[in-house]
Amino acid sequence: MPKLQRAVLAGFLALVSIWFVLPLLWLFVTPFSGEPSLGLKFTAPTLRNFSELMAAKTALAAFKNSLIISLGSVAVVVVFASLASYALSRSSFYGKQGLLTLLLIFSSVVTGVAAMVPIYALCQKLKLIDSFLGVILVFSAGFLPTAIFILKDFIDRVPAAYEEAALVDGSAGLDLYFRIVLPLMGPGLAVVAVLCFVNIWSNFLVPFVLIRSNAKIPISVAIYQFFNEVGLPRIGLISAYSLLYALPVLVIYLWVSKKFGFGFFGGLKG
Amino acid sequence: MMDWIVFEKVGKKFGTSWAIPELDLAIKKGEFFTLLGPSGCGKTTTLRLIAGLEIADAGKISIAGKDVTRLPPPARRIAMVFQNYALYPHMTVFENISYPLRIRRVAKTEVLKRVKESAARLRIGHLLERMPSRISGGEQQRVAVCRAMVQEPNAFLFDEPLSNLDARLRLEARRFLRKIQKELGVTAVYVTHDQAEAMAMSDRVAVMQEGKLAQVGSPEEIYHRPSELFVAGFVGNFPMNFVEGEAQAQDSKLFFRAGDFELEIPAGANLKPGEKLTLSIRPEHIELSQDPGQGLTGVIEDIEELGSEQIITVSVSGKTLLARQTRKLGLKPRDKVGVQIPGAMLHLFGRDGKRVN
Repeated sequence: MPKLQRAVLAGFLALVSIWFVLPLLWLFVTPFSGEPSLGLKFTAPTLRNFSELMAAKTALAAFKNSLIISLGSVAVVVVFASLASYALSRSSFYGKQGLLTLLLIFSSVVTGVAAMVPIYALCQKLKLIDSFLGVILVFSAGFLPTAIFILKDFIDRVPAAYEEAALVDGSAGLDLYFRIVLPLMGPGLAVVAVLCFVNIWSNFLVPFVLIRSNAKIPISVAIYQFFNEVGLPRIGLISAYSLLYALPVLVIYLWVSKKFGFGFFGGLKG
Repeated sequence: MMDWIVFEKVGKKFGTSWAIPELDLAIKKGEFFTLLGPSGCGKTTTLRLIAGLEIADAGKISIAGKDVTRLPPPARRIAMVFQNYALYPHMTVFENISYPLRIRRVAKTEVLKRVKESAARLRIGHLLERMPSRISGGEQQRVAVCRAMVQEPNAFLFDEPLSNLDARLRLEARRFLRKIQKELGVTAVYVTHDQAEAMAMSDRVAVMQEGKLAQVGSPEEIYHRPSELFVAGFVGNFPMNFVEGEAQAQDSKLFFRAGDFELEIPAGANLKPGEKLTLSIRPEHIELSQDPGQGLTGVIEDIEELGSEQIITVSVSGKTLLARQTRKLGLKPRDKVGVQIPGAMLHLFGRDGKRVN
């Protein structure tokens, strides 16, 4: 490629990347800004926005609520998905293919907008409105199909020879499951757990509909409280909160990608 | 020696077809027994039936005098080495080797002692803290063997354990596996499609075809007296010569005739004149001489030089034969030569493929 063409292309790509980088930059700069606004302004760094945030009680409680909801749902999803996907991968029974198709169809229904009215009605009947359990169950139901589907695909690729070796070596049942199968599923489980966590952490609709009291709302809902008396957004608080909101997701991504490399391994030689 | 692993009329079907219709087999205590055959012949299924990874649909299997037909693998106390070794990737070499002992609640000091002993014997003592993905293929293979050894099992089962090694390592592993097996005195059942491996390692070989036993015997028997055409073609480093023809009587003697090709059949064959036959002779049993008057007369078509030996293509009365010669005779293509086919080395098979001489 001629030099000029390369330079033009590079310039164009730089412009495009600025488009994407600016909001991120804003996210990291504005929380520490003395006069926060929607524009990108560099001032002497200050922690004032954060100290103001600490003063808001519901804001901090929302952090805890988000953790309870997200981790709780992820736990339910991981436990049930690992068992179900293992069974679906290793056994054959009549109607298996139909069941898998059904899973695929349902994978985006439960947590979508369309299902909110019936889900609200259901939770009301079950007296699960305004409880963490209700939100966790709805999230779990919403993400289980996808999780099972991904994990089943993952286990399909793990050679059955490992389990056969373990069987011959003398392990069976839960021994086999916990000592061999679960560790082999590790990377797959990590991917599914991160996927669910990130999605649930950022989901607004489900907790917004199902949770009533201010003390139980998660961050995704709480962030809408930072408006002043006349309804104008308080940019400083919102940006500081956004940064805190984004941190766990970032940390988890980094940790998992370091530990598992985000690759689906599990193959062996031969 | 007593029968240690016994199959009585064992059948196994996959879907609606019988992979193994009816198998009778008796493997003796302490012997190195090989199941040999092409892919799909049922040899691996047979091995998995012994392991309990497949459950028989008919018949009875017993190990060490105990009926295990319905027993799951953990209850059978056998050790298996898989083709891809199946070393648990999330455990160190030590954890891999000790796994069968730990799962069976053997005391810690005993586990340590046994693993150290076996690992030293297989020269992998220095690898114990490594992960399986960080050691070479040959080392992985030894670890897999070590995991089998520490168990003091009823039997060793080997499922083509050498096929992932390169040629040189394979020869070495062959000798060392056999040595270990003889030292421990544990019955071994070995599955392979490599006839050379089977011949080199085994006390007895079972040649399988389409889920049935074609022949069971020592490597010498299988090589020198193949009971079926299939066995004759499958066993041997060089492809067997086959000539199709029929038996004919002349002067109270029997002759094999295929066109102009004619050869006397040694006495004692269970044959009637007119019967269709396949004659087989191994390339290494054909003797060539510079004197065209000795035996049959042939013309050399091609000579393959292999260093220590020559593979010579020779045409005899319109039939093409391969002969393997280790002596240098200074032959050239288009030379006329004498072709001697010793009657004792001749294999004759009837129309049904069964041996008749």
